[in-house]
Amino acid sequence: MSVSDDEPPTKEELAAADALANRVDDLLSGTSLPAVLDAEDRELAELGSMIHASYNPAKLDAERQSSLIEAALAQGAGVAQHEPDELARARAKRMARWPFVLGGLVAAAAILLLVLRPGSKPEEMHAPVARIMELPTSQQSRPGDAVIGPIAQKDSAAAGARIDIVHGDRMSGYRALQYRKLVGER
Amino acid sequence: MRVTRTSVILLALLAFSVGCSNESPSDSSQRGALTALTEPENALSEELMLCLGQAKNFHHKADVFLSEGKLSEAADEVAKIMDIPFPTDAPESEDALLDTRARLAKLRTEQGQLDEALELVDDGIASATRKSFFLANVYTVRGEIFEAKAAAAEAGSEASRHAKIEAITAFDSSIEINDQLLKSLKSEQ
Repeated sequence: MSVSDDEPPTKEELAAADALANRVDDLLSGTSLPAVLDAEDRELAELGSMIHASYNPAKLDAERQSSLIEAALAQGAGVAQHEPDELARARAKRMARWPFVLGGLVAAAAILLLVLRPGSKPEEMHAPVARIMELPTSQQSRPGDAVIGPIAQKDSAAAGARIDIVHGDRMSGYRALQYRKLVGER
Repeated sequence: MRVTRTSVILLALLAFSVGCSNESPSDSSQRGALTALTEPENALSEELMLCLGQAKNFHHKADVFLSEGKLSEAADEVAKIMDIPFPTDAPESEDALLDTRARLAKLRTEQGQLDEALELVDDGIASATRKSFFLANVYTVRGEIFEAKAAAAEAGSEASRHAKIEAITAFDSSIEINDQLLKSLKSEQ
C-alpha cells in the first residue's frame, strides 16, 4: 500500500480494495470467509463488516423476525407451563386483599369523620349545664338532735330505738329528694 | 365467603361510626335542657341511708340476743356497727357512732368490763366534732361507768372517791351540753 495519501491509488490498491469490499459483502450476506485467507485480509474484512453494521443497523426480514418472536414466546410459555398454579394463586391472593384494604380505608375515613366533625368537640357535647339544687332541711344531712332531743339517763342504752327514729326521718327526706330528682324541678 | 365476611365487617364499621356520630334522644334532651340539677354536698345520700339501715339492723339483732339473755352476743352485734363505713361528713354518722359507743359501753359495763367500757366512751368523746344530745349521752354513760367503778371499789377508798368525782364530772358535762342544746333549739324555734 502507498504511504502517502496525496498520491492516487494504484491498480493493485484498487484491486485489494475491491477484494476487501467483496469479502465484507459476503460477511454481511452471511457467507463465511474463505478458509485460506491472509490474517491481515481476514481482520480487515471483519473490521469492515463491523463498521458497515454500525452505520447501517441490520433489518431482519419478516421470516427471521417471526422465527425470533416465536422462539421468545415459546420460552415464556415454557415458564408459564411450569408454574401455572402459583401464578393463579398469587393473582387471587392480591385480589382477595382488596376488600380488606377498602374496608380499612372506609373505617379510617369514618373515624376521621367522627373525630374531625365540625362542632363536635367532646367538651361541648358533654359540658353539663348544672345548677345546684336548693334543698329543704328535711332533705339535708344534719344533726339528729332536733328529732331525738335530750336523752334521759334511763334511755342511755336505747340506741336502737333512736336510730329507728333518725333512720325513719331521714328516709322520708331521702325519698322526697329522689322523687324530686326523678320528675325534675319545674 | 370472603366477600360476605368483608361486607359484614364494613357494615359493622359503618353502623358503629353512624351510631357514635348520632345522639340518642335522651342525650339530645339533656343537651337541650336548661339545667341539670346537682345535689348539694349536704344532700341525704344513698350511702348514708345504707349505713344507717345497717346500724339499725345490728341494733335490732342485739335486741333479739338481749331478749334471750345473751349479753355477749348482743355486744358483739353492736360492736359490728363500729366497722360500718359511714360517710365522714354526715352529722348523722357521728351521732350514730356515738350512740353505738354509748350502748356498747353500757353492755361492757353490765359484763363487768369497766375499763373497756371507759375506753369506748373516751374515744367517742375525743372524736366528737360538735356538741350534741348524743355526746351528752356518752358523758352520761361515762358517769355510769364511774358509778360502777366507785361501787366496785372499797368503800371510803381513794379509788372509790376518785371514781365518784369522775362520775359527777361526767354527769355535769352531760347536763351542760343538754342545757346548751336546749337553749339553742328553743332560740331557733
